[in-house]
Amino acid sequence: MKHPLRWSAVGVGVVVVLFLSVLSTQVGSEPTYSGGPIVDRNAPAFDLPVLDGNGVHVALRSLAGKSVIVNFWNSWCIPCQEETPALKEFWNRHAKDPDFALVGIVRDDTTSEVRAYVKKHDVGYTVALDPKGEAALAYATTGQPETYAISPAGVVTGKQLSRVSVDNLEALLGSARAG
Amino acid sequence: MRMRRTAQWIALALVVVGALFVATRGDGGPRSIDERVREIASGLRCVDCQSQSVASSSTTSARAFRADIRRRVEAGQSDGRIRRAFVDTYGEFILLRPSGSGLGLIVWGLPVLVLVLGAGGLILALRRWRREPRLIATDADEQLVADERGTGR
Repeated sequence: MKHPLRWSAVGVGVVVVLFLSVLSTQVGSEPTYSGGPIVDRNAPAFDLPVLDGNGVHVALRSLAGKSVIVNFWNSWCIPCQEETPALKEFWNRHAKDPDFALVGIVRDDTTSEVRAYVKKHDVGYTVALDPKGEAALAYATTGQPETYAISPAGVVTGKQLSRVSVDNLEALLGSARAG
Repeated sequence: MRMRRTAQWIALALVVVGALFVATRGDGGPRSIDERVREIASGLRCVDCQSQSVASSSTTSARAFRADIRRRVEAGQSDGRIRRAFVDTYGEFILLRPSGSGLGLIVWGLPVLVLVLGAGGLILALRRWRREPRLIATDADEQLVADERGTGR
């Protein structure tokens, strides 16, 4: 090699430019998140106290054999408030189906606020509290609302990480029944 | 002469390796459970806050993360296994520091490549300069300098 220092400088320059190019596409942007790789896996177990249930718990294992929709929500999140009518309508459609369950798991809220919200909006489906955030962690949630469909065999068959419509909920239930 | 030069290079290498060892070793000694929890939590992304680690956030989710890390540490799981468990649940998104694969490989690898290329070039240049004979002034050169200085011989 005739000019090692020159070639070395060129090499370093190329690598530095490459490095800065990579950084420029990454810096300043939060990574986007589309949820953990939970679909097609066994649904994480949960065993949570039911709101005003006098010690009654709802556990996923007790819902085995049913198609389950799990909705993470709280009273102060606007999209959660916006989807409440859809969840109520969906619940009213399927409430008498013995092979179906809808569980609203509270994420990051106080019991008193949740109680007031449930009473005001006449929420009829099961609302469970998750004061330590364990279920939210197990389902890899990053916010609310998030909705998951679980098949009778206990496998997660679908999810939606935003406000749901009745059609969305029907599609999720369809995936659970097909799963 | 050659032996002495080799010994110098070996001594330099030993100093560098020793310095790296001391720098990466930390303060030594076994870490407490709290230290391990804090260290692992500081490398995980708080999922419902912007650019904060699980260690520095006070959200319910961050507290749940810390409690889960503590439970795993107390159960005897290694740091690597705990991190892998979170990656398995959340994906690579959960790591604040890039991993050693994919984009992470580029982020970690390119600076090392720069260092290797720079050091390689420098070593080659030094060897080349060392091989080149030193210039010796001829009588004509000496005369030229003497003439310029007015002390002609």
